[in-house]
Amino acid sequence: MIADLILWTVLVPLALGLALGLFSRHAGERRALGGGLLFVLALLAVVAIEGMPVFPPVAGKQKLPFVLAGLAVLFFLLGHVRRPAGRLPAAATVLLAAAVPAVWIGYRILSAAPVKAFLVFGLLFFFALAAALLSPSPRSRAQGQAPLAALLFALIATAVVSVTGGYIGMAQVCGAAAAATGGWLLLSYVAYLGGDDAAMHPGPQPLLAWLVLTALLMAVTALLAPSANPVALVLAALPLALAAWLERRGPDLPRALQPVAAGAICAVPALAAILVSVLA
Amino acid sequence: MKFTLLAGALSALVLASPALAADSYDIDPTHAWVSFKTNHAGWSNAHGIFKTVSGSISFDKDDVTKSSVEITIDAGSIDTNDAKRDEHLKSPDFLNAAEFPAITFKSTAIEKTGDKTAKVTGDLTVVGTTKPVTLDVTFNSEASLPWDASVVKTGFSATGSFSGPDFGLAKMTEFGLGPDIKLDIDVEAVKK
Repeated sequence: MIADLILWTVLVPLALGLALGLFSRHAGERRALGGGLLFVLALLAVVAIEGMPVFPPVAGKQKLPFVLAGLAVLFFLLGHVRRPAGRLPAAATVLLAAAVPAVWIGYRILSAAPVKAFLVFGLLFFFALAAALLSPSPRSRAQGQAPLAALLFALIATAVVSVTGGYIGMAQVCGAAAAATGGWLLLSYVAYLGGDDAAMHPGPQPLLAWLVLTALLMAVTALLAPSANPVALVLAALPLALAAWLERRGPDLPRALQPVAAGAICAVPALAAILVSVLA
Repeated sequence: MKFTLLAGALSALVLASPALAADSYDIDPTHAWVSFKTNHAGWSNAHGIFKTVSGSISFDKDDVTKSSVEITIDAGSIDTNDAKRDEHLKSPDFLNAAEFPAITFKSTAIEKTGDKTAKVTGDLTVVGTTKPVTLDVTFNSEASLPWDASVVKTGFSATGSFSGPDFGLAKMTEFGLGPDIKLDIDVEAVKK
């Protein structure tokens, strides 16, 4: 059981994240299709962890594979858009692409638990705001070293919140997404050290896909985990606020340390989220 | 005229008799125990109980095949003697109690097997999935409360089993549980 858990929650997603990183490095203009591939990867992880999808889906969690397949199609289509989305379209894309599935998955709970509904929509609006702030800006001084590091720590923290909240299946899915993100970051950091300043930014459309995936997994955790700590989930989202700040005025450090510092700073609220969820 | 009256009275008696033959009962929630056990990785059988049970019984003592039963169990009332484990069992990994708060059993057929025993087949709904399950039921006794003769109670015991993964509880295998879940039910019901 433990070997299976490590294989499908960590090792396979890590390898797939590395493969996605290779695709990002060598696909040229097709790099934008990485957003669609991210959702294909997430779909594979969910099928490996939860089993083959049930049709028609009855429970909310059974809808997740269909949502991921739909988002893969959406982001493959967006990957063909040459121009990066502006701030408002980016925010609208993240909000709609995460909120519509979240409502479909959790409408029974949203209507019965107003606190959970408030938390879910608060998180989704926060992610939409983050999408606007992290969209390409001529004023940005960093090369996008912080956003994926922030999402990595948000996913790790959400996995722990899901475990302590009593939903281990979603913790596995979040863990798999974190492992894939870690794989992508590992490969990209090596490329960054090799001289590619922009290596740690996945590109505008794939970044939106990552934001939607993380927002969706956090929303599903908030909805379906029986006792997910709401304060911990809010803290788990805060690395994105730090990423937005780091993208504008990051610390002046030696080049090789800049991504490491960005990651360390983004990890702080995630660690707080983990502590709150474990100790509460 | 006399013939018409007699025929009318007989017809009314015939039509009314099936309804009169079956007595109606409400399950007493304070005297209802729905417990279960399932294999835990070969080490032991993990036990649990549902604390909130309700339902109704229509019991025809003359022809039990005309009886019926409906039981509703609050999925969120599961108790396995460990609060953290109970939280996990309420999650979508298992009972998904927030989305599917009720586990229900509605009888569809009853076969008499002895003086006080019967096989009760019904639709069991767990996590939104409905499948037929057969329970072996024993009628224990019926009597008035010693301190209140106006209240009549009847009591049944039942056993049965079903496969958890058949009802979508696919994570059971991953956590070394099951696959079969054995039910052990005792209910007392108050005559209406």
